[in-house]
Order: sequence, then C-alpha cells, then structure tokens
Amino acid sequence: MKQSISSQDSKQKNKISEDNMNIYWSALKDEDHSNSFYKTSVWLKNNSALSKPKTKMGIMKQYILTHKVKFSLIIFTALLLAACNMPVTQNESIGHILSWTVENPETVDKVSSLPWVDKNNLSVNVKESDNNEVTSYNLVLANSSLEDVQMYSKDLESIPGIIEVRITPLTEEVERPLYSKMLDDVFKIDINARNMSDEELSAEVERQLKEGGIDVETINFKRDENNRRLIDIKMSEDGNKKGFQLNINDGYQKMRIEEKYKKGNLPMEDFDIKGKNDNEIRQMVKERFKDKNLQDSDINISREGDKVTVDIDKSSSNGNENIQDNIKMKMKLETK
Amino acid sequence: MYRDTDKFITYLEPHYSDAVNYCTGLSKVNRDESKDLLQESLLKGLENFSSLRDDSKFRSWFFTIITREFYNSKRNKFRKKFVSSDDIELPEIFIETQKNDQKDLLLKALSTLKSKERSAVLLYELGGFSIEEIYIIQKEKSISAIKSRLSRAREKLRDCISKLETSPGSMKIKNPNNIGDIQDETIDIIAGLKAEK
Repeated sequence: MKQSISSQDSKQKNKISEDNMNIYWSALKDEDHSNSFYKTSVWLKNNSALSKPKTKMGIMKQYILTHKVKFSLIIFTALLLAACNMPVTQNESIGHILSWTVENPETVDKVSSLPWVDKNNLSVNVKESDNNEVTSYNLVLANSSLEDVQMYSKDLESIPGIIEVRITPLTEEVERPLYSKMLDDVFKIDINARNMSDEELSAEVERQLKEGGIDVETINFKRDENNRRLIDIKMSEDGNKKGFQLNINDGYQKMRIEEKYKKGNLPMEDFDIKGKNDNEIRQMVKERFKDKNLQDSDINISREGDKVTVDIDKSSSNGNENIQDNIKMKMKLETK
Repeated sequence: MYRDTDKFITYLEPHYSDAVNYCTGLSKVNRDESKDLLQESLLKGLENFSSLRDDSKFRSWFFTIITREFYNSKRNKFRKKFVSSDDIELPEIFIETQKNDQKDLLLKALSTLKSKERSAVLLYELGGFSIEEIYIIQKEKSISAIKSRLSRAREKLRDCISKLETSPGSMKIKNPNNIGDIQDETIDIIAGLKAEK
C-alpha cells in the first residue's frame, strides 16, 4: 500500500537534515584540545623509554634488562661450573724411593731378609772404596704412603751397619678439574658415633685418620655443661701432609673438625728462595742432593709470580744407567 | 628516550586536537577508554616513527595507528601493552570549558554504530580523509565496501540523532539560522530545565 503523502512528509521531517548533521559534526570537530598539548608532549618525552623496541635486538635487550637478576644468576652459575671443571695441574704422589747404603756384608744379609723388600723393585750397586765394599740400595715403593716408608726407614735404621737412609718422594703431574682437586685436597671422614664409648670412638678416629696418612698424637674427650661429648684431637707435629674433614654424628649433635694442609718434611721445603735467581736455586738443590751428582740440565726451574717450581729429573729415560743416582722430583716453592 | 621524540611531537601538534576528538568519537562516550586509546597510540606512534617514509603523510599514518589500536582494544580488552596505567597516567586532556549538548548527542549516536562504521564515518567527517585514504587506513578489500559502509553509518547516525532529539530533554535544533528568536530561545530554556530535572 502506498504511503500517504502526509506520512512520507512526516518521515522526511523527522529525519535530520544534512545541515543539522554538520552542526553536530562541528560541535565535535571544533573541540580544541591544544591546551593539553604541552602536558601531553612532556608526558611523551618522559615516558617514551617505556615503549617496546621494534628491532629483534632491541626486544632482546629489553627482555634481558627486565630479567637482569635471573640472567646474572644464570651467567654466574655457568661461570662457576666452568671454573670448577677447568683442568688444573696437580702434583700427585705415586710412591717413594727408599735409599740406603751398607758397608758390612753381614748387614746385607739382614737387609735381604726384611719382608717388605721387594727384589723386583730393588736396584743394587756395589762399589769398592778404600778396600771396603760399599753396597747402595734403591728400593722403589710405588703407591706407598709416607708413613709406611718411614716405618721401613726405621726398620733399616735399627739394623747396625746401615748408613744414610734417605726417602725420596715420587710425583707425577696430573691434570684434573678444579673441583676434583679441591675435593681431593680434603680427606673426609664420617663416623656415626652413636652407641660408641669414648674408647671405641677414639680408636675409630685414629684408625681412619691413619688410613688417610694423617698422624694423631692424642685424642681426648670431655663433656660440656649439657653433658654433650666434645672431642679434642692433638695432631702430630710432623707427618701431616694433607688436610682433613672429620664429621662425627654423635646422636644429638654433629661435630665437624677440619684440619688444613700442614707442611711436613718435604725435601727442599726449608729452602729460602727469596731473592735467589735460578742458578742460585740450582746450586741449593745440587748441594741438597749432592750424592745424586745433579747437573744443571737435570734441574728445571719455572716461575709464576711468587711461586717457583723445581723439577728434578735424572732418570734412566735420560740415558743414565746408574739407577742409584736416579731421582725424579717436582716441588713448588714460595718466596717467603 | 628516542632521539626522534621531539620531531614526533612537532609533527603531532597540528593534528593533536583532531586525534583527541577521533579517540573520543571511537570510545563510546567513555573518557578513560579514549584516554587509554590516545596514550597507547602516542607510544606506538613514537616507537614506529622511523617507519614513516613520507613526512607529509603523518596525519594519515597516525590516524591509521589510532585505528589499529582501537581494533586491537576491541579484540583484547585486558591487554596492557606498554605501561601499567596505574603507574603512568596521561595528564588530563579533556578539559571542557562548557557543556556541549550537540557533541554529547553525536557521541551517543556514534556509540550505537559498529566499530568499523564508527571509525569510517569519523575518519571522513572529522579527519577529512577521502574514501581512498579511508580504504588504506581501514585496510579494506575494496573501495565500494568503504562507500557502502559510510552510507550506512551516516544513515544510522541521522536516524539515531533524530530519535534522540525527539526524546524528552533532548536538544533539538529547530532553525540553525534563526538566532535571537525569542520563542525558540524560550523553548530552548524549557528543554534545558527538563534535562536538568
């Protein structure tokens, strides 16, 4: 049905005209915000750093800066792991050489009967001197502890006719990760002391320390005001070549005793090398081991800051057939 | 701070008011929403300023950014892109010196339109962009789509404003050229009193 004219007119009238629409648009368009422009520009200058960077490098940089604590921890841990795994050179003892000299033929027989003398590792040299026969012995004791060798040395010294007993340590250079070296430098003992009497605990501590090559002079116990057991260990003055950590679980408490590395009677340890040049140090070494007839070429000296490494190598690999003159040793000395 | 900040601000100044009004028109009479939209658009613009190849196209470039941000805000209302608005606030940009009923009516009518229709009609009327430029800004498939969208939007606006005008308390423009007519002024006063009630 066709709409009536009046109806059409009515609709036309109700619809807003284009002119009126322009008025509405002008009302919005003419709204002037220039008053706030200055503040907006200041805000923009102050906060422009907060916008996200566009480039990949920029995004990565911002991410790292946002999480810098985490990244620092990761890098630190990685460096620590790398440092602990870095190989370091360490001198490791592989045994000892026990040397002695005998003039009396009867003494020779007594020496031969010693149970620990392994003829397979024994080298003998007989010399005549002033119508006397002098027999020199070099016994290589591989994987021996200094304690054992000292015991053998005492056995020898108790035999009349033994002249000049000498112990020479054998070392080799070993490369291993730093953490391994650090662990190795500390000998650890763990003892569960529950239900152990003082005597039993004392015996166990002494036994385990001895196994690790550590000499103890005395072990005593005392009680505190709460009746808790406290251990008092007195170390032997000589013979302790390495540190140790002793952990004792005594039921209601745990004791931890640490003994750091103590210098013992190592050869050349008493050398005062401060201010000495390489030749002077060589002279000192040759004097100490004069029976070995060392040459300058047998003694290698290297320096690193205050540390001096003296490397003595006079062995059969050098073409020296006289085995009793052999000596192989490496020591690190410090200027005092 | 970006070295181009000063340059960006210089380019922005002549288009600043129109940009604010565009954000106002897009944001459904919600001041906070329009402020957020402007804030994000400004930072986005500064961040991407280096991508502007032709300085003479700054106006369309910046209005494109505002349009994109508007569409993004519709998609994800919870996304906070750059800063927490709790920490850094844009200073007050909407300083009204006097009440403007026509503007309010228009904004109300705009809020009834769909997002793309609203954006298209604002770009045309407020921004003064051509249909080709709106086609680029809105990234549409064809120019005819923009034409029909504009036509639809304007039709809807007229209908809506007409209805709003006839509703009680609304401001109706009887005769825009009849300034000073005592009868019309009296009717205006009565209508204003009704609106306040």
